[in-house]
Amino acid sequence: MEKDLKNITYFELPESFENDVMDRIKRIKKRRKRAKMIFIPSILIAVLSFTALFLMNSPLKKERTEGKPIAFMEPLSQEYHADIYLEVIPVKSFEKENLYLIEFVNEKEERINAF
Amino acid sequence: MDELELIERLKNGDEEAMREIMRIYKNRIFNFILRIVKDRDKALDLTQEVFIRAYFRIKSFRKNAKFSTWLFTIASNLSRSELRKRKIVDFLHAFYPKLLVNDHPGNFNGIEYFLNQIKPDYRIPLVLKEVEGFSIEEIANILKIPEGTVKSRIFRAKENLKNLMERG
Repeated sequence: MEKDLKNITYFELPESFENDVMDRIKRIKKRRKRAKMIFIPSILIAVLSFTALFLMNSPLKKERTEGKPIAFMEPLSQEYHADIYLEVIPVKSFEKENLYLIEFVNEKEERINAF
Repeated sequence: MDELELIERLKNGDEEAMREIMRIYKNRIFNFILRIVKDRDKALDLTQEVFIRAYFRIKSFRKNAKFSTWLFTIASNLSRSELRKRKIVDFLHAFYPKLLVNDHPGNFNGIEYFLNQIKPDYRIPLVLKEVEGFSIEEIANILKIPEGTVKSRIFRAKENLKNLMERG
């Protein structure tokens, strides 16, 4: 049996085999090179676009466009001078229109813009 | 030319060294794969794949190992993964007979016919030992199994072969 196994049919490959393999190797090398050439710029573009996206949505950008937010937790004070209050309303962003003088005339409230 | 010198040249990307290595090993590798996958077209394709992998992974080859052992390890891994793929196709074939386009032609005669009836786990070590002439230690390295397992698988392969031949 061992002898039979030793004398088993032995097939031979043609001469063209080496050329076929070398052709495939060259094609793979070319494909890998091309992939590398595409990969680096695409990574750069991705990084740049992420940076741009981050900057566009960052709080810094918001401050620049909308102004710095001023938030008062509670009405700071109410000063009483005779029948006139100075009311400071808690606002997100400071506007002139948010400051009022409130005058009471016969217990009737009247708002007067402070500016 | 010395094989080690060829490998060194191959590591430096020398194509002529690659051609020389293919000239030395192509028939052995092809015949080994053919005895596992039993399909000439597939065996030819896998033999090409073995040399392509060897070309791109030659830097991982260590000088303390035998080059032929390393090459046959690649061949054995590829062949076994082909058999695994085929198992899935055969499984699908059981449910969807139209799926299987090309069955595995087994136009082998004499002892090869019986050899092909043995389970691949037993057939591969037997072919490596009796046809390719590797030692038990080398086969253990190629298949990444203990030497004792190699010996027992070869023994069982021979037993199976003997039984099959007796039954005719």
